Amino acid sequence: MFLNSLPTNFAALEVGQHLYWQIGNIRLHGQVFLTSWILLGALLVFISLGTKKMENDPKGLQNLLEFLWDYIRDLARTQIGEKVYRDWMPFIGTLFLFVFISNWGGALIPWKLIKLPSGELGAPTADINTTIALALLVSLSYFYAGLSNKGWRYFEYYVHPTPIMLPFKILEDFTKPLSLSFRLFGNILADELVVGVLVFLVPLVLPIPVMFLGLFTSAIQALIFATLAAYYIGEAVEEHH
Amino acid sequence: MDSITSAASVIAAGLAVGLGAIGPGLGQGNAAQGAVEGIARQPEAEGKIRGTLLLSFAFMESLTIYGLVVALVLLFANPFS
Amino acid sequence: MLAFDFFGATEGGLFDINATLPLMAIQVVALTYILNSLFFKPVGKVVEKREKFVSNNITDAKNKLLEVEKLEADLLIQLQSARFEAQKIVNEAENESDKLYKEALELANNEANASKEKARLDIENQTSSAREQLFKQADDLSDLIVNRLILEK
Repeated sequence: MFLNSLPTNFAALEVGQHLYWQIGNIRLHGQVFLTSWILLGALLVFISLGTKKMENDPKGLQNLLEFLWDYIRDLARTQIGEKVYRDWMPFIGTLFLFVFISNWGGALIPWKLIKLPSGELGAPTADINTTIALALLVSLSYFYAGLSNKGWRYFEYYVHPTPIMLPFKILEDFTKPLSLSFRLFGNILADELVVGVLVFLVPLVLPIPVMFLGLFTSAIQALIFATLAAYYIGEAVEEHH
Repeated sequence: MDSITSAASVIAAGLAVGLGAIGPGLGQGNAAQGAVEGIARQPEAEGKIRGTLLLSFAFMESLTIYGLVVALVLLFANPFS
Repeated sequence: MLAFDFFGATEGGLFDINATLPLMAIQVVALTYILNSLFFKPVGKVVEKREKFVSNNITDAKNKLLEVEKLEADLLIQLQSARFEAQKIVNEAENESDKLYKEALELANNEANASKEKARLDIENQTSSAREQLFKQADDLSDLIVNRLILEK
């Protein structure tokens, strides 16, 4: 490792350090699972509290959850189209919620206070494994959506305007998950790094606007991830004439 | 790792972020100009324009982020070390 | 040469891909099913029920509004025709009274004229008869005077 010679000098950031869990033959990044379980637990508690007593006149949490539902439905409907958005809405919504709570949870909760033997807790989306997993799920789901909706006619999409497009369309299938995963990973990691470096250099006041910018970017990235996933699925199920 | 590789990696990381910021910077400027013109022409469409602008900003931003990822690879996961 | 080394070959690192990836994918898929049954389905049911309720109410209200507008238009037409009718009756009555008035006026005028004429005629007659009498008396008187003068002579 390049910076192994000066690891503690770099803003006390432990980039690329992980808390390894060894289960049999496989190794896991423990800190990713720890933070994601805490955040998902909070999300599920929040949601079950909000949906415990559903009324026709929404109040409090139910109001918020309905707003969220409506937002996700609008997102799915505009990108996927009226016909099949209903089937994919849970998936898109889950992606959005997962990325959103991961980003914000990573930025808002002072994880640094919890010391780990190695590595540090942070946003689960700042780990390349998480983002690649999400991006591959998106790839699989748009293939599945296309094949289940149009059967073998799905592959007409690859030669749609002209057969010249074929290599580009095939290349796109690889660049889509690549850009999806690296965009999310890079944004969140960059955000954590910038805040970390600033806190290291000027521990007071100055990092606060950058933190707000980071929160903003995090929210937008969640929206972008969900929007793009929905757009890819919509592209796959769209009928060409 | 020898010092030549280290020096080259650090310079390359700086260039990756710096050069990668030029294009998106110009693009974001253009997009903001278009959005402001659009709002001036049609103030009632401000909400929609703002939403689209932010989304397209994030897309341009991710180009810089790709450069940053390359820089991070060079600094923290250097394949040539 | 070492291009693939950083994908997990080294201990740790930024791009250390391992079993975290598939497990995370499984976790997200599980989360999708959990959220679907816990969040998307129930909230969707409530929201769609309310949307249906609201849209039904709106259609009802629209229908009622249409009905009201139709009734209003009907009433307006009726009102207009009634007004027209009333105006006609008033006009007729006015014409009638005018005619009656004119007739009465003419009658009265005629009568007055007739009696005036009659009076004039009467006066003329009397005047002429008085004049005749006067002439006769003057004749008589002149005769008398002549006779007297003759007698005296």
